[in-house]
This record gives sequence, structure tokens and C-alpha cells, in this order.
Amino acid sequence: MKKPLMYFILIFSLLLIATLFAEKQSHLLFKIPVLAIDLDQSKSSKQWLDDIEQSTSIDLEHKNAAPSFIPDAVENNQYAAVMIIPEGFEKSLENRKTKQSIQLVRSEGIVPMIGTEVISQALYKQQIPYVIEKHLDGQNKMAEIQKQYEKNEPKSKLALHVTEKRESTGNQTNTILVAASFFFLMMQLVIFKRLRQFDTLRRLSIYPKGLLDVFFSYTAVMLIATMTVTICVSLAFGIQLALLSNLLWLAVYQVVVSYFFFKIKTTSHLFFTVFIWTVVMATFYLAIQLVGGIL
Amino acid sequence: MITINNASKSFRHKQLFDDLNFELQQNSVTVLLGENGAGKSTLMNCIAGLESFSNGSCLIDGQTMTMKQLQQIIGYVPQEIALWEHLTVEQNIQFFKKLKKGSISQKQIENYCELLNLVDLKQPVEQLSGGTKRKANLLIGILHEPKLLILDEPTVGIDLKSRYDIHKLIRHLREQCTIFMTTHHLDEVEAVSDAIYIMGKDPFYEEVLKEKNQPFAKIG
Repeated sequence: MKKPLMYFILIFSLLLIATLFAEKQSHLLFKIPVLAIDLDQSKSSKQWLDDIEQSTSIDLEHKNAAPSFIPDAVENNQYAAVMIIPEGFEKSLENRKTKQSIQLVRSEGIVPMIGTEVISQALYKQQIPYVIEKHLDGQNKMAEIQKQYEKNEPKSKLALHVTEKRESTGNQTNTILVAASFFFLMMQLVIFKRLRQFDTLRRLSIYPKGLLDVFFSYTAVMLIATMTVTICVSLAFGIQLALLSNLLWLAVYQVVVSYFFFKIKTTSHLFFTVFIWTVVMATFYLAIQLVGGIL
Repeated sequence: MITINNASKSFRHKQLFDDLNFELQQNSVTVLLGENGAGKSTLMNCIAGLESFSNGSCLIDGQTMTMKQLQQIIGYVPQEIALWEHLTVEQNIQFFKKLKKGSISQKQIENYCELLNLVDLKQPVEQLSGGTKRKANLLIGILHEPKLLILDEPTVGIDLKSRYDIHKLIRHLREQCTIFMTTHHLDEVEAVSDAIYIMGKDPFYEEVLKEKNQPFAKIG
């Protein structure tokens, strides 16, 4: 009765990991489609559209389309939003009167809202040099202000924090190393099989903490050995390790393997159970790392 | 004194034994006889704390003991050779000594080895003869001076000389602890027992003991 359940867990884990990889890939490819109709064709409008195109989440298309085309294109989900930059946009920007000049047609939903947000951020960025010029009361030329602004443009601290966080735990090589360690640790079932003397282990249960001592000593030794090997491999190949994160993941894995090691008497059943656990653990670990890690 | 009251044990709808009542006198050797499957080893395991009774109790000097208290006073020698086979006898002794407080001195260990004629202390257990393994198995059970020593067929499958050595030790240990043991050898019963209990349904054991004029009591 146990084996069908284990086969189910195994197949489910493999399907889950395949789905998560596909999802990750689709995120990389998926962009919000936005149509831009630039009737101004000025330096400012082109700059604005360039800024939008640099976003990794927007797929910007340029077109000279008739106004009647636009509602259908949005309703049919061909585009999440359509933006019309009217003639005189650059002048409006210089006069800091962009509020009523730009038309944006979008559908309902979170994706078009995200698209609108990216467009608005890019427009806001366009306006900043003109705001600075106003405050400087014409003391500096616009070209100089724009040059200085681009040079000293502050990066988002939130984004920077997220980037740093992902670098420390989302390191792909470290992820692969840990996932491989789970499979490598299965070798203990063969190397240390001499410890599986169940009559002796049974005798230990009449001693206070006898079994617990053996269990924790074994688990600790395996963890220390594994961490030592991973550190040596990382030094040899220049891999950046997330030590604490790795230790916790390996500890969870090893505690369960140790339990099975000292509990399951039949060797074939032990191998099968530990294999299933290894696949489940590797799947879960990789899935968590794909979404940015939890540590 | 050890008192067993109304003890019963069942496992998956099978009654192993039911309503057992008996006492183990202090500083004596009580032997339990019965056919295979009568529940002798299970009874031993329950008294040792490895398993629990489905009903009933085990009182030591009139008191129920917690598992922790029981672990301090019990010495258990299982029927199987429960030693680390890849370690030597000496290493096994050192390993098991550290598991509990109050272990005997090295001198005392040497005395016991002398009584048992146990000399192969530096060889891995897997390379020892059956008789030597049994002696080592027994020695591990008495490392912490137990007040109650439980021996589950301590001389099964070994030569006569080794059995004689073990009997010698059991008689020596009687002076300092209560011993409860099972066996299938009648000569062993005659050699060491102070009291005999019979368990199970087979009348064979009663008939044999009556023939030998050996007093006994039926407990289940």
C-alpha cells in the first residue's frame, strides 16, 4: 500500500519541478504588450519611449494607427494599453503641462495597471529636468541639467536591496550544488550500512537517551562532512556559498534520512524511501530558489 | 520485590498473554518456562520497558516506576547478540558504559571476565565464537549493576563449557540483584533457579517438572 503513494509523490514532484521551470521561463519571456502612437516625433517623445522600452516587463510596439483601431485592439487583448503622444508633447513637457495632453487607453486588470505604472514612471522621469530648471530660474541650460541628471540619477534602493538579496541566496551554482548534495548524501546508505544493527539499536532504547545520542551524533557527523565537502568544492571552483541557508536545508534533509536510516529495516525499502525523499526535497528546494529563496 | 499485577498484552487483535499475576523475590533467580509463542520474550520486554503492557502494572518495591527510573535499575540481556559487530568487546564495553551513570569499575569488569572465562576482548565481535559472543552480550547487561536483571535465553545455541561459565556468573550475581530469565534447557533450570514459573498452554512443561519433583507455579 505504501509503494503506490510513493510513486505518486515521485511523479508529482517531477511534474512540479517541470512546471516551475516552465513558469520561470515564461516569466522571462512574458512582457506586457503596449502600443505607442507617437504623433509628436520629438526628441522628448522618443526619449520617453526609449525609457519605456528599457523596462524588462514592457513589450513596446510603435505604430501609426487610426484612432478607431485603438479600442478594438485593447478589448481584444492585443495590447494591454495604447498610449497616444499628441503633437506638441515636447512643448507641454517644457511648460510642465503634460497632465491633459497624453492619452492612454487600457483594459481592466492588474497587468494593464502594471503597464500604466511603468509608462507613468518613465514620463515622470522626463519631467524632472524641467522641474529642476524651473527651480534654478534659468541659471543653467537644459542640456546641462539633463546631462547632470542622467549622471547622478538615484537608483531605487528597494530594487538594490532585492538584487543583493537574490545574489546571496539565488546564486544558481550554489543552488545546483545543494541540490546535488541531496543526491550525493544518498551514498551514506551504502557507506554506513554497518551501523544498521537493529538488535543493538533496540538494546539502546533501554538506556536513557541511548538511541537519541546515536541519532544526533550520526546526523551531526554527516552534516559536518557534507558542509566540509561543499566548502572545499566551492573554494576549488570559486562558487559563492550561502552557508547558513545551505546548512539549514541540508540539516532538514539529513534529519529525515537519519530517521529512515535507523528505522527502516529492509534495505530495499530504505533505498526507495530515501530516494523519494531526496527527489521531493530537491524539488521543493529548487522551487523555493526559483521564486527567490526564503533566506 | 517485583510484582506483576493483572498484566496483559495484545497486538493487532491477538492476545499474547492475559491477566498475569506473579512476584519476583529479591536476590533470587526466577526462571520462566513455556512453549514457543507463549509470550515469554514479550513479557520480558514489557518488564524491561521496551514495550508496554496493554493492561496491568509492574511494581518495584510496591511502587510504579517511571521509564526514567526503570532505566536506572534494569539490566537487559536480549536473546539476540545485541552488540556492535564491527567493534571489539572492549570497545563495546566502553560504548555501553558511557550510556548510563553508575557503571562498574574496570576491576569489576575484569572479575566478571574471569568468571566468564572471557578472554577475547580485542577482537571484533563478528569474529568471535557463539559462546564468547553470548558471554560478551551478558557482560554488557551487567555493566551498570542492575537491581533487576532480565535474561532472555542467555545460553541458547552455545557449547556446554560456555553455558557452565554463564551459570557460574548467574549464581554469583544472585547475591546482588533479582534475576528473571527464560530458558529451554532443563539442566539450566536445575542449575540456577530459585523459583520456576510456567507460561502458555502446553502441559509438557508441567509434566516434566512434576516428574523431576521441581516446584513451580503457573502464571498464564
